[in-house]
Amino acid sequence: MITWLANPLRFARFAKYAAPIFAVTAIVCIGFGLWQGLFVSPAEQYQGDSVRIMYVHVPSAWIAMMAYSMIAVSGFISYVWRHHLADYLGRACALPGTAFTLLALVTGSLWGSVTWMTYWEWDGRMTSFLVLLFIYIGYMSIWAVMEDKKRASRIAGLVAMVGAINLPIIKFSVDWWDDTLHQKATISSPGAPGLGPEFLTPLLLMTVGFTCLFAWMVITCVMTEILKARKRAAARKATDRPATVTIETSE
Amino acid sequence: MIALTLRDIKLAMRSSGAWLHGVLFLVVFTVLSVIALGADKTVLATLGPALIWLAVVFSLLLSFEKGLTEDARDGTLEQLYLSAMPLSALAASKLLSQWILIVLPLLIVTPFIGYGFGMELPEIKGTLLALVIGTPALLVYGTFASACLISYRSNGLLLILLTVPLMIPTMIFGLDASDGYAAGGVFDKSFQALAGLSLLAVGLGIPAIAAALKTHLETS
Amino acid sequence: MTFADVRLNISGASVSRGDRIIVDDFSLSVKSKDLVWLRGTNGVGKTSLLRIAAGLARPDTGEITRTFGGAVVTAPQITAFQGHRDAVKPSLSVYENLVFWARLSGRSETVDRALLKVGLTGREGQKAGTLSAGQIRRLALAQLWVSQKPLWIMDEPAAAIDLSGQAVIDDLIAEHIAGGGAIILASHAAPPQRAGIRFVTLHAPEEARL
Repeated sequence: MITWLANPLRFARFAKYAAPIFAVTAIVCIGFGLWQGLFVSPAEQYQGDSVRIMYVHVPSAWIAMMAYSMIAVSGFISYVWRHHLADYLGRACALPGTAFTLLALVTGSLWGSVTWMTYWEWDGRMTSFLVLLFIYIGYMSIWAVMEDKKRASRIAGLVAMVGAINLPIIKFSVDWWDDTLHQKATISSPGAPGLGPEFLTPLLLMTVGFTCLFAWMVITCVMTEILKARKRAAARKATDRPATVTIETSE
Repeated sequence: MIALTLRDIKLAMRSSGAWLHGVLFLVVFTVLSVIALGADKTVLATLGPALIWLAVVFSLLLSFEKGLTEDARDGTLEQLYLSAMPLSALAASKLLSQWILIVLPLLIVTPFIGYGFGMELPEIKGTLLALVIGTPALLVYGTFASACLISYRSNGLLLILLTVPLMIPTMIFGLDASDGYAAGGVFDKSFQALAGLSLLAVGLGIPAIAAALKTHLETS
Repeated sequence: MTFADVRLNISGASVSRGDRIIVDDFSLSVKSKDLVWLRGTNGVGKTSLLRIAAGLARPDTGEITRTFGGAVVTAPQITAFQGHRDAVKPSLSVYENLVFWARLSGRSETVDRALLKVGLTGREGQKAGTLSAGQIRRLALAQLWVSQKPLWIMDEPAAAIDLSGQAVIDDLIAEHIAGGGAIILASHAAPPQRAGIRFVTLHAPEEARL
C-alpha cells in the first residue's frame, strides 16, 4: 500500500477518490456523533454533563499521537530513501497534529475545570501532551527556518526519528514523576474503564469522524504540495538553463 | 580521535576563559535564586537539588552552541571528514571534549553551592553523583540539536526548543536519584533508570549527531 | 612521493542550487597525472562540482566511482580538499595547526618539509591569527600537502596570494602531478605554460540570447 502510493501520480489518482470519501465520512460521523453525544447519550453518574467533553477530548488526543507517529514514519522514509512524498506527508501531518494536540489540551483543561475544580493540573498526561506540543513546534520550526529544503528534509527527518524514540521515554518518565516526585491530591483520572455502550457509541463515531477529518486534511495538503512541485518543475523547464560545458586540452 | 579532543581542550584554554562562562552562569543563577527565595537555609536545603539541576541545565543550554559551530564555519569539519576520521568518532570526540570543558567545571563547583544552600553531605553527594551519571545524556541532546542547526545562524531559541523535551526524562530521573541517594545509595532504582537513559542517549546519540553532521556537509 | 594509479569517474551528474538546476549531465574522468582546470564565471557551479568531486556533496543524479591502485575506495581515502575556508585555528601556532593535520594522516615528520615548500619556515611558533591572508592560504596549502593524498581538489588556490606564492602553487602542482597524483582545480588565475592541462569551462547560459 505504502510503496504503491509512493508514486506521486498514483497518489494523485488515489487522492481524487479518497479525499471526498474521507470528507463525507468525517462530516457524517462527526455530525451524527455530536448529536449522539450531546443529546442522546445520558449524563454520567458522577461527572454529569461534563463527560460529554470526552467525545472531543479523547479523539483529539488519539489524532495528536497518531499524527506524530506518521511524522516519525515519514521522517524515516524520507531520511533513508530520500522520497519527496514522505516529506510532503510529514509536513502535512504537522499542522493538524499541532492543532489536535492543542485541542486535546484545551478540552482536557475545560474538563478538568469541572471534575478537578482547576483548569490546569500538572498530572502526567497533561504534562506529556504539553511536551508533545513543544516537539511539534520544534519540528515545524525546522521546516520554517531552513531555506534549503533539501537540508530541512534531512534534518526534520532526523529530529522526527529522535523525537519518536524519546516520546515513550518522556511518557514513562513523566508518569514516574507524577507518581513519585510530584505529590498531588489524589484525583481519579476521568474516562474510567467500563464505559457503557451509550457512551461508547458517540465516542466511536467521533473517533472515526476525527480520523477521517485528519486524513482529509493531510491528503489535501499533500496534493497541494504535489501540484506546487509540478508547477515549479514546469516553470523550471521553461527558464532553467544549466551551464554548457566545453573541454579542451592545452598543447 | 583523542588528538581532536586534546586540540579542542588546548583551543579552549587559549580562548581567554570562555570555557568558564558556564561556571559563572551557575554562580550567578545561584545567587539570584537565593535572593529570590530568601536566605532561609531550611527552605534552600530542600530545594537545593532542584535548583542545582536547573542551574546546570540552563548553563548547558547556553553552552551547547560553541562546540560544533566554530569548526563548521572555519572549514575544520570538512577537513576532518576528509581525513578519513569516521563522523561517529568525530561526534564521540566532541562529546568527550565538551564534557571535560563544559560539564566538568560545573560539577566541581556544585558541592560548594550545595554547601551554600545548607544541604546535608549525603544530599550533596547524591546530587553530584546523579549529575555525573545524567550529564552525558544532557550533553548528547544539546550536541545533537546544535549539529542539526549548525548552518542556521541565530539558532539559540530553536536549540532550546529542540533540546528541552529530550532533557525532561533525564531531569526527572536525575532529581529522583539526587533525592534517592540518601535512602537507597547508588543502587536506588532511580540511579539505574538514569544510567540506562544516559547509556541509551550516548549509544543512539553518536550516530544521530554523525548523521546531522553529514547532512550539514552534504548541503553546505 | 609517488602514488599508485588513482581514478575518479563522474558520470551524468546534475547539480541544483535551491530549486534551479545549474549543471546538468556533467561527466568527467580523472586519472593519475591529470590536471583538470575548471573555469567559469561566478555562480556557474564550479564550487558545487568541486565539492561533489571531493565527496563532500552528492549530486542530485549521477554516479561517482573512485579507485586507487585498482581497488574501489571512498572519497576520504584518496581526497584532499582546499576550499574557501582554510580550517586554520587563529589561536594555534603555525606548527600546531599543521602538525595536527599531519598526525591525522599519520605522518608528522612531513611538517618541516611542508613549511619549507610553502615558504613559512621560520614562522613555526607564530600564532596563525597574526598571519596575513596570503600566509594563511600558504598554511592551508601546506595542510593539503601533509595529508599525502593522491587526489587534490583545489578551489581558488591563488586567492589572496602574491607572485612568489603563485610560483609555490605551480611547483606544488607540478610535483604532485609528476608523482602520479591527480588534481582538479578551479581558478581565475592564468594557467602555467605546460602541456596536458585539461580545461573544463562552464559557460553560464547567457541571458542576452533569450
